[in-house]
Amino acid sequence: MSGLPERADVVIIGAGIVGNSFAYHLAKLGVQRIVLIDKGPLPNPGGSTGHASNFIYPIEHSKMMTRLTQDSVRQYKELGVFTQSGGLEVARTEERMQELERRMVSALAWGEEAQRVTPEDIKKLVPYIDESVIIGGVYFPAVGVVDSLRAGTLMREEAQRLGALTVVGGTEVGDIKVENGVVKSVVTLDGQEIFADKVAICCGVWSPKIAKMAGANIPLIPTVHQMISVGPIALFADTVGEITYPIVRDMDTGMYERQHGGDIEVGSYAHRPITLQPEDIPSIEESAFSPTELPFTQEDFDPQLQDALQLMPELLGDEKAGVRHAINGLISLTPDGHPVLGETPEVKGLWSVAASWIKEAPGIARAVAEWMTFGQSEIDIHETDIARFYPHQKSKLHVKLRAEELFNKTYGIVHPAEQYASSRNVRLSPMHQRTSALGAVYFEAAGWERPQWYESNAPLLEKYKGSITQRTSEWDARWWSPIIDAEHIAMRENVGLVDLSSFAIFDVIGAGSLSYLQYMAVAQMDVAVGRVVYTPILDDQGGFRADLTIMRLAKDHFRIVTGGGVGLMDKKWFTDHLPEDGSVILYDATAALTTMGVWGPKARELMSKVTSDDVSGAGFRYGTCKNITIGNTEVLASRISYVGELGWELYVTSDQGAHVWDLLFEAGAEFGLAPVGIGVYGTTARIEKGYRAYGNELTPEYNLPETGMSRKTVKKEDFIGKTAHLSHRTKNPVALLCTFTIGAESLDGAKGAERRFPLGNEVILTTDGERIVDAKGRPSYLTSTGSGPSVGSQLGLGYLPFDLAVEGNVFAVQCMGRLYPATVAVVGNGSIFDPTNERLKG
Amino acid sequence: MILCLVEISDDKVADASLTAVSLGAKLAGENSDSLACVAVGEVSDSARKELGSYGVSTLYLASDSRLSPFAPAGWAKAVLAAVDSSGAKVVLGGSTDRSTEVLARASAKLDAAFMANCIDIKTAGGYQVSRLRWAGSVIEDAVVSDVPVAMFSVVQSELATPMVKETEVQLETLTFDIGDSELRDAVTEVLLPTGDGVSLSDSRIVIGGGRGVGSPEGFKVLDELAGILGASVGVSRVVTGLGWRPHKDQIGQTGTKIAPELYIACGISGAIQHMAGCRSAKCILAINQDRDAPIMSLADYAVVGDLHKILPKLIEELNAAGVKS
Amino acid sequence: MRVLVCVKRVPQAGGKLTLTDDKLAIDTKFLGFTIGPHEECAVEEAVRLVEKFGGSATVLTLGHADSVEQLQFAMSLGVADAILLDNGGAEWGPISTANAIAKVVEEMRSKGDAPDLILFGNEAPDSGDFQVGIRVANALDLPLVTGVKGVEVLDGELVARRESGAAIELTKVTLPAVLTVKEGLNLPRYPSLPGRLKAKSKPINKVSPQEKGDPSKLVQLRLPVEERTGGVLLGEGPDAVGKIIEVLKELGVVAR
Repeated sequence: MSGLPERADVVIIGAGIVGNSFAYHLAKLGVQRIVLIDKGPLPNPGGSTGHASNFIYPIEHSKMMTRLTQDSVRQYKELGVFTQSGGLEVARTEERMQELERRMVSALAWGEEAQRVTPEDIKKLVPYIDESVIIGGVYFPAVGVVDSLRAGTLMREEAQRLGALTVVGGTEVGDIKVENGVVKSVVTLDGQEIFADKVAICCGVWSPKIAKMAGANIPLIPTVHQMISVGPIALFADTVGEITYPIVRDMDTGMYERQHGGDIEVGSYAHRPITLQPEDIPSIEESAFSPTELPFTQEDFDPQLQDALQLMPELLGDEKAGVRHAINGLISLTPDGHPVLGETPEVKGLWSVAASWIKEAPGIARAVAEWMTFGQSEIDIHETDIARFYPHQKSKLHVKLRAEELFNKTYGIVHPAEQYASSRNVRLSPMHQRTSALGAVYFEAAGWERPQWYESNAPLLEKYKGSITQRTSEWDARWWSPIIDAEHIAMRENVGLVDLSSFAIFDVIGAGSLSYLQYMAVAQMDVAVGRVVYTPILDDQGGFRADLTIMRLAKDHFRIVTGGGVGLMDKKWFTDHLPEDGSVILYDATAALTTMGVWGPKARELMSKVTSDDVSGAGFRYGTCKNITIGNTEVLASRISYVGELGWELYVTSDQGAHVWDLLFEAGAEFGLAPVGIGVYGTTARIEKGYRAYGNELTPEYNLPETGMSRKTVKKEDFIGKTAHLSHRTKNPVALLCTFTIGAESLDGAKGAERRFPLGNEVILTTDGERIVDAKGRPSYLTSTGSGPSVGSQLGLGYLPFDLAVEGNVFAVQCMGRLYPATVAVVGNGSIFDPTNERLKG
Repeated sequence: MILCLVEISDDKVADASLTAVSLGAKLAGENSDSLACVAVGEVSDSARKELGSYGVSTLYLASDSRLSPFAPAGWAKAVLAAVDSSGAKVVLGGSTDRSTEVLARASAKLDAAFMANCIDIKTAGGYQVSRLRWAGSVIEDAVVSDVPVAMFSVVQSELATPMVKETEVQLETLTFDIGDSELRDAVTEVLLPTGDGVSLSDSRIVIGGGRGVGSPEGFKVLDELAGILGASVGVSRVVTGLGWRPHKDQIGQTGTKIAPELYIACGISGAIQHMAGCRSAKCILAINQDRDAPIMSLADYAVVGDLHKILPKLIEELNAAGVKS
Repeated sequence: MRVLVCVKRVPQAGGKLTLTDDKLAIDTKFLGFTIGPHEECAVEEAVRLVEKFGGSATVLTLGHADSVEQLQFAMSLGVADAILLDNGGAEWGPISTANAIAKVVEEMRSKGDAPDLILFGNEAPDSGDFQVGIRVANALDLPLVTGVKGVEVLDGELVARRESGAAIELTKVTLPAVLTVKEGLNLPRYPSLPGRLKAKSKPINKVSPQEKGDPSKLVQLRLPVEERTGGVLLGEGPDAVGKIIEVLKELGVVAR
């Protein structure tokens, strides 16, 4: 039946919206021999695309998701399958109304139109809403619906027309052969084999099952989302086409209602999470409808019936309108809510393009196609890299627990700093018992429980109350504490002790290690043993790939230290570039070592007390590292500081981490040592110093000069991204990263109004409220924000177009509907606190 | 004694009844038993001869005119009278609506077992029965304990053709009281068909349309093709559920069962309840956009594609070749 | 008018059935549940009769307690209340089933709540026994018409219409009576949202039925060998028309 070719450049498994888009984009980029396989029939093979509700709201808090959605809408429009309907998000509660305000800010940041509407306005747009049930809403004119099946067909046919694509339906994959960690071939159930350089898994809910055949892990879980279709709706009888009335998202009840021809489709994310394992998905023949349209469980939907009837009483209350179709539809959910994209860490050449919604699928497909072909994508999708998952995050249990928690948050009000409740306490620092006893409030990152602040420091609130800014708004104060500011002051006054065990640590060893790292890093790596190099890592286009420190421990032994959150992505990047002659090995020392930091004006005094090794300014210079003995334990001490204070990062073997902590803690009492959390380390202190963070300011989207981190000279040795970087240096950067101080009073000067605080991603506007976009189309927004207790101001980092990046220029950030002044304090590299780095280098 | 209820009309024994008779003959042969039949109405010599060719020894006949055209309670009583007279332990019938109802009523009166749609029966101290569930998609194997009387309706399966063991059929008239109980739910009136065309179940060629047709208007092209081929148009349950076509056009387990020479299924996925209605077709040609719809692997011939593109072309070429019904 | 309509919870099948490992039942792992198409028409008819003549309809089922789902479905269409004969989900034969139902009706009669009309589906989609309604009518000594595809009620009399070959048979009976009906009797409605909500608070009377006992016993289920295992793919799209015509000629449907 199938007639599979023998060889292909790329085999794509799965012909839903993702697979079809991916084939199309690869073909457009010039890939020649593409084979697309699906076990089901075309055009509707029975996956989630076939029953999706197909509407798109291009508004997200996430910049990446918004851009992918915007790109997808552009593509759908080009294909002629997009129908604009407009969309509403309505609020029944004040809390929801505030969230809608925040969504409007994000919409503004990413360039999407949004209008605040009253219940009366809403009634005019959607006459069948009972406006007495709602208190207001937001209208997004750009919302629309797409014919995703048709889109997929058109894209597939175009790829075929280019002569690049062979399509084989009704063929099920039974195995993926791998040799020496490289993908080799795909084998079908009926015994045909096709050899391929690359294989892409675009199988939606089936992806984990297919990946497992190759020994790879795609962490997603099929999850139910209920939908019913009610009709015939009398009001829709005279409308033409698929949709005339705007779509309504009734987010407080977790539901949406959209017209679909003569019916109204009502969907729900409010029911209990119902997850399945991919092995439990029925075959086409076993299903009454399709494999991803499972039998409807009425009891789960019943509570929502009331809510829907309340909002649309005449329409849905019409006894002549019946429930004509009802399903438990299957969609893919991931443990962190982002798609799972990229080359799998386990198998080279095996790519995952999974867990995408209709609304971003074509955009994702284009980005991954670019990534696969060129190594980078136009839209920065580094957050979706499949390499990001730590082993425990790929476990079925973790995926299930987190997906279940995320499901009901689909229309939820999620605070930007909100922590997960499930699957906690998995990775614990050796000092965990100590920090816990100190009342640490833990935030999780990469599975690690990291103290964000310590309740035991509460007495410092009184001591430093002059320097601490309280937040009166419950939302701004959520997942935050003024204790963070107090710890910050205590550290800058005396000394602080920071648990940094979440760092990912990789040792690079071997005769080829120097030349290898020279090629990987921007900075000069041929340094003396005992030097610490902070270096950007660039990609081919000169965009930021990573930001880390490398210590030279011996002639052929280096140690890389990077953030836990990006650890595995960085590991894959470094591993992928290892020389094939085996002259370099990379060893993951993360679990073997733990890290803590000792910083503050009294750090040297403290260290002198616990070690007899020379820690004087002359004896232990800034930017160097050496072994010292603290108590009875040998420790690698590194004189660097992300908080901009005198002090050291200490690397201790995990077994003795708690012991060293104890020694320092006890000895530090006389110096006023305070335990200091990541609230300081990762936000307040580093923003005062203007230190960038990967994922915030540093992303592939911005090049080195734009971040302000270019050095005076470029080393003569070659490195990844050198050519691009050199060309970036020849002209003015299109944008520049700046530090802002954010005023306490809003520009409209409303007296007595509650002060609001930016929490991240707030759009940066002109004082007239106009959006600011650079010549590459990149909007200005706060990439990081936090309080600056030592400088007495709220601070933020953000990019401005080159011409606007002038010290003293005043802009505005929007917090809860009001504009607060944002004044440029530093342009490019530089610190608003201790600008000459006296404290650091003493 | 094996007893078979037979339906006779227009001097012919119904094929469905002959199916039961042939199984009856087999059982009679296996158990060295004799085979009798019971009928209501009139029986011609040719019908009697036909029964004789299966080795039927006796035909019990109830001819009271009040039992015609169909008084199911009375017919059931006739069967019971025949059981009484013959001492039969097993009663068989064809799996028509009428025979099924009559045997069910008769077995209810005796509190005896009745099993519908049997494809095989073996007797060995009780009965080992295979019968159809899910309109033939599942087979049930069951045992019936040795009871005084057991009744079975029989459906065509892998049964033998008539054993030519020509016998002389004795005629026995049944007499029993016919009162209100036998007549209160008898057929009161028969409306003959207005005679417009061949019925779906009798058509030699049937064209079926399902969800893939897309709309009521979409059926125009099927009707046109049917006109050229002299075929009837039937529909799947999805279509009647959507109100596009009346239930009388429905093919399936709960619709009409068809057994044409050729069934062309357009835009029909092939759910088991539909296949139950058309699997007796000699040849099935399926046209569907879905290469892997269940029907595509059950059809004798399949064409993948949009019926709204294929049928017009087919019609065009048939017209060009001068094909007319 | 008092109408009693009897339904059975059955799996909603797709294109293929699978059996449980012990071969005694259908594997319902991926399947939802419903009532048969004949019964959907029976429920619809019950609701229509009550809409026209007043009174009320009751829906009854014998089976697992999960059958409440099917009872609520019927009530969401307008049936007033329900009776559940909970037998724990065991597979009862037609004699036991009919016996238990008849007992319930006798109970109703003794309370002065005798149904004027009792409706059944002609046969259940799964077991296809064709006899429960018939046995109930016999036990209650009521007139019975089977295979009904048309109903007209006037002054305590009912005219039932059914098909016999190409002909239509009319049977007039006096109420109370029993009908087994077939799909095509009417076009059933879908449940509305308010109907569904109201159904949740409608009463369900639970009864523990006694099993009379059937002489037949299930040994196993099996799937028939499919004679058709997929034939010839003639081609794709309008290009295949030539091949189609060849087949038509081969079959003698079209002259050569």
